[in-house]
Amino acid sequence: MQRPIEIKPMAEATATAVVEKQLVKPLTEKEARRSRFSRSYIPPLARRVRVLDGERSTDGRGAEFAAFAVDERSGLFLRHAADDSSRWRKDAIVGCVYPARDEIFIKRGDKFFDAGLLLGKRTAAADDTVCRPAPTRIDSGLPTLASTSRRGGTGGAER
Amino acid sequence: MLGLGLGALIIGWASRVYFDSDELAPFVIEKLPLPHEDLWLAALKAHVVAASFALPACLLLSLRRMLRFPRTHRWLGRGTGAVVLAALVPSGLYLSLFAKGGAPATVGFSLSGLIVALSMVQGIRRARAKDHVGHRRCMLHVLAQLSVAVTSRTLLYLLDAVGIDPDAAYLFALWVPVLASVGFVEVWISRRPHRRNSHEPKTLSPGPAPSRTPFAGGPQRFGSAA
Repeated sequence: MQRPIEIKPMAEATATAVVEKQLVKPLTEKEARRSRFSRSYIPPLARRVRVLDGERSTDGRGAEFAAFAVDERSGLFLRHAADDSSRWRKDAIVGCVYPARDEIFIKRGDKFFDAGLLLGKRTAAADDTVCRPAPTRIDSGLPTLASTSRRGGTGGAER
Repeated sequence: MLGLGLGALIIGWASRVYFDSDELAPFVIEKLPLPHEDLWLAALKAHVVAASFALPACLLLSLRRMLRFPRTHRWLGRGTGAVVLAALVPSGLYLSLFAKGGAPATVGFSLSGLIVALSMVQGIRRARAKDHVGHRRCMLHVLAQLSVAVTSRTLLYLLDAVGIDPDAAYLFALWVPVLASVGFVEVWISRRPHRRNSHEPKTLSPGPAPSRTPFAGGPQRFGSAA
């Protein structure tokens, strides 16, 4: 069953706010509950979101997205160094956000995964249209949204 | 010893998350995607279960009090040896192939695993040859390498607290405890007066103590056959 992609007003949230709300905040809450005495990464003291593209791109499904990066800062004994740019580890998480859909994908290797992966949810790699700008078309007009919404507009975590 | 025991408890308790089918553990998440995820997860679970038994067991076996119960020591030792050689080391070697930090981390974990395996095999042979001094030395190497699980995590936490880059910290917190554990055992053994062979009657050990140097020949020599 195919259905057209539902596009929300783009103005209702900025890309940064969506990443903060959908990824950084729940990730921080989840990390607060887990043991730090582990070989897995130690939760950072702070994270900051940077939207990388000045202009949003449109993917093969016709949905607008923006690339983002999350920087992290560690150092329990270095709280005073918050403004020191060298203390931030850049691009600890990279991905793209679809503000109108509240969807976030993170990059692993050369593939993109639903950001739920970082929250412990099992997700498969997204298809090749996700987070990748659609090839520029010569013909003008709106992209054929209906023909690109093969997975019900979920942004999909299907391989 | 108390610190190691406490660390083993904390690690064991925190490892429950690997058996939670509802969500992925952070250690698993950061590894994904993996080429053979099911195999890797099986190795991780085997490693966690084996380590949760082996480290506390080795701590128990190293207690002087345990020597009063030679039969218990013997059977617990056999069980620990089997778990270490059949599960802990093979699963650890496989996991090391996908370790964070790339080749240096793989080599570090593999080296630790090989020290454990060789020391365990040699320690078993020493015990069968009734060379309890040599047996103790080998088993201390096993315990020291198993203790890397605790010391490495402690170091990781401290390095993170002072803001060291996580990638560099990971390698540092692996290699330093692995090498330091080898050095610590050798120095500790060489400086420690050899105790009477605890499994022998007192009347059978009136002679001079064997050489204190770990590299001396004879049955105490590390790496020699029984």
